[in-house]
Amino acid sequence: MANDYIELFLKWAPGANQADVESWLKQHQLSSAKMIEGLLLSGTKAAIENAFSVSLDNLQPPAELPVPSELKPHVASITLPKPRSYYP
Amino acid sequence: MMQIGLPLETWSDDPPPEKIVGYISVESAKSVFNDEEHSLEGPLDAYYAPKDLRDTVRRDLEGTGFEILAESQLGLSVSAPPQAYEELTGGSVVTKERLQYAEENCIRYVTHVDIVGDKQPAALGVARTKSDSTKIDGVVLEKPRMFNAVFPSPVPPNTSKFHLRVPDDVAFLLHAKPAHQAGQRGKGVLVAMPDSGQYRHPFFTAHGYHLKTPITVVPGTSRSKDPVGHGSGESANIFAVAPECVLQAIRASNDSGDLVGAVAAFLKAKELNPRIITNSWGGDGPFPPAGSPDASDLAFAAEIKDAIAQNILVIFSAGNGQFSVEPQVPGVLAAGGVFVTPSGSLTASNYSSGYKSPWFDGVNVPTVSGLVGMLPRAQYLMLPIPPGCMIDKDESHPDLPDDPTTDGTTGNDGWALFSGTSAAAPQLAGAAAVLIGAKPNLTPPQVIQALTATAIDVVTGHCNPRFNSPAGVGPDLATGAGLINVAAALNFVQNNF
Repeated sequence: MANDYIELFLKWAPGANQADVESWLKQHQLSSAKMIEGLLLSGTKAAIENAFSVSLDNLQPPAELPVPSELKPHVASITLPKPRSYYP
Repeated sequence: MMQIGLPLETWSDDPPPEKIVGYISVESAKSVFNDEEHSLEGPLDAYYAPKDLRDTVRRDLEGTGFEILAESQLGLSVSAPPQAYEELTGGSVVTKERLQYAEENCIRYVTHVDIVGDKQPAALGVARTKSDSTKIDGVVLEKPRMFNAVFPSPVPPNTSKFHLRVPDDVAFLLHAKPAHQAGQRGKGVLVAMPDSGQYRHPFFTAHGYHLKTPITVVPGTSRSKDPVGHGSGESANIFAVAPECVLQAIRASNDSGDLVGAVAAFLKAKELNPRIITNSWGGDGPFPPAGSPDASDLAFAAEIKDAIAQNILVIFSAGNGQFSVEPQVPGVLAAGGVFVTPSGSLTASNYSSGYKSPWFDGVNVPTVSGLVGMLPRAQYLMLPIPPGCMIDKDESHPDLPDDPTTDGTTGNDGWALFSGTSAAAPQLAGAAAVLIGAKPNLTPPQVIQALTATAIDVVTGHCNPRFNSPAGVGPDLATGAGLINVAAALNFVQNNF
């Protein structure tokens, strides 16, 4: 994964079952870390494209990814953030 | 193996080591040291030396100052002082520098030992005995020898381009030296720095700086590598101001050097509960923006505010012409740039971003400034980096068409001239560490108050042309409150908190 790591933001919907979502993410080879308003998702490009049925090459960040039907009751949005870079 | 202007081999100033490890090949039916022999075709038996001959050679070597380390059917591994080799071969033991791939995938001169003389072969490290009666058909010296040298050098190279050095010039110009002399050096204050990684450059070792073992958040990456050099180099700014603080570097780069794990690294930094998180990175977007921050900006802004709420001072670079959410988050110490000219006068760096936040009421970027170079490349601070890393190579080449000059260093020497507001943020982190070291109960707002109240006002110049904010009397959008003054800020906290 050393050259293929991508971060996404997941925002909870009201009343989300967080355990169900985290289990779904694990099944799709995605890692998660708790944030104030949701989760920081990370994984390989292939795992993300497979999980969310998108081609990341076609997206211009910041961009919202489609929320899979299984996650819709729990997730308000999944966002690919703008890239960040060093300021030397 | 060619470097422009550098020969493959050159003489070394290093003396030979006191003991040299080598290999002695004992005579047999065939010899690899025979000029006609260029391969090892056929059975190896022909190269085996008879046992009685090996025993004779062993006894002779032991009687002339050689220590036998190991033995095979072909020869003996030995160790001896240079004089013993000279006596055996009739040649002279010398050292030579040969250009080759070394650590960190960089090409540099590596010290080899050779035996030279009229009857000696040209091959490096290979010798013949002076007498056929020794029953030895060849001598091979261990290679390469990397003794008597620390690479890269802990001492920065000289270059004709005007620049500042760490730690002394930075400490002097930010008025940190009086604080150091008063015993305030940020002792034990934990500073976390999410960035490209941290290479344990001999500069840090030589100065005795406290680097904790780096952490990496991108799976599959090495915690000890910094492919860019950005984190390693900019971190020297922290220690220039707070030489006794403790740095926890968090690598957020992939193997190509891209900053792909910045958010994860920031979250990891928060987990460690440091007093300060310094960040020399960010995004970019249109200015003025079309609307409000997007959802991902706000999600990250919430994390930043949460860190501040946990009593962590969060510092972000203002940007080098970039416009991004991080330095605008209320409560963040946003680091701008001031350039100190060769004559010692202060002017706003035209490399640094400066603007009134269109997103957060009452927020101006930057808050206060550190030392930053000028356009086109801000080649201003000589900073230690991994030899041959991206910055080492990039800064040693022209950046056409904007800058036909270079930083005057080589692309694999482990030093480069650069700065940016990436340098200002860790300078401010060092200043904050000095204040917190002196007054451990200081809150982030108190640290910011001390640094801004005592900063040196900068009244000339403009910030980056994208924003073109002018410097003037009092706080402004070019440098914020001006250039930090560590000694004055220390005095401020000691008198007010």
